[in-house]
Amino acid sequence: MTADLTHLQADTDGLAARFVAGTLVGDALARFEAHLLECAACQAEVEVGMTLRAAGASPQAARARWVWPVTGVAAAAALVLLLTRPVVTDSRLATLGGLDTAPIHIGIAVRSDERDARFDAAMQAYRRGDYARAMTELSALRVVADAPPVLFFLGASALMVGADSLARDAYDALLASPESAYHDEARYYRAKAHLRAGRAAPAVADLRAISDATLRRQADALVDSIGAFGIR
Amino acid sequence: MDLSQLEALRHGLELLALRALGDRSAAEEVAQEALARAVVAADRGTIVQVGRLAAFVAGIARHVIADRQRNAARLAPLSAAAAVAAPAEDPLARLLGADERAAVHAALARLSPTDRNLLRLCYFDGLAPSEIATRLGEPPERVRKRKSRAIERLRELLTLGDGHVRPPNPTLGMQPALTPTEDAP
Repeated sequence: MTADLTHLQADTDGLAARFVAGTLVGDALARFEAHLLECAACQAEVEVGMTLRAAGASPQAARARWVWPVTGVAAAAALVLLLTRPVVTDSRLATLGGLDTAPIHIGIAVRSDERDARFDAAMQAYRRGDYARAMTELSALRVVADAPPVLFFLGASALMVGADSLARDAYDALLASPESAYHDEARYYRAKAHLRAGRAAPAVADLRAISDATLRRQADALVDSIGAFGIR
Repeated sequence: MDLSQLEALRHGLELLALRALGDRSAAEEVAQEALARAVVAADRGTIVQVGRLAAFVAGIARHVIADRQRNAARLAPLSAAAAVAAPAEDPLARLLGADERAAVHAALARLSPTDRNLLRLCYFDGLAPSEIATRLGEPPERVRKRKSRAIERLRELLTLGDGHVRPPNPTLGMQPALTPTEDAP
């Protein structure tokens, strides 16, 4: 078993840069990866390094000479470093995808076995607003019990922490299963996830498919707002 | 295994996956799946030594990433065949759009040529600081300091949105709307 890296060692050996460049291999790579998960300084360097590499690494240029072209005008550079956030194409749509409050959980049992206990634990985290933990636990639970409530609240917690693609994935799975009490709400929240990604058309399709009367009014209002932007 | 400790590893996992896959959503999903698998492992009684949690989770993430790469290769037999002929493309090449590339290049243009060269040696050639020091004929310590200053500067330029080339006088054309004119009531 190899010893843990200290940040000083990692920095002295330039491991973050070599990780980005892809010249770190084998055991040295594994050790740095474990270090990276816990080291904010190395994470910051890797972000910048990957951004650089991504800007310079074009398929056509292959590994020729790296020349930095000097461009006059640049777009919003602030986006670049937010590597793990999807780039939102239309900020107005993204705003419509926002959630002020999480869907309420009133406590419907999943199944009468030990999975109930895990679902309860996840929902306790959910109710106290710890959506990241709820999401992690529900993801794990999904592997053994992909019941509609598990998928529904997995999607909801993912939306609350901004893991939009995971939310879509959960609602896709839920909506592909036989109709349940969760389906209409799932359509509503999947529409939110689509809006966050700037995709109006699938959002409108989901909203129009809702049949529940109460939810219908909210859905219609949202469709109107999307229409008001002239995006269909 | 404490779940709050796991959650702290999420950002690092995303970066690790992003390096391998060059796709933001895929990186988010890999991080999520690695954390979920770690929870399942804990449930099944896997014991992780104190201080080895990150190494354990990084190992899981490598498997998740490898699975994805295999699936991608299966789904794209043509590009797999092409990969034999052409050298492997860096997945990061897919990460940024044209606007974002332009923003990075604009930020880089504001660094000195020697700093740009240093960054190239680090992040493209992947040389160790000692090798770079030999090549540039400078002490390793100075190379390291210069690199971290350049990275810090670049980070500022990129996060503050300062990659823009400003007009010579930024207040011109912006102030009048906010300043009451003399004939205002």
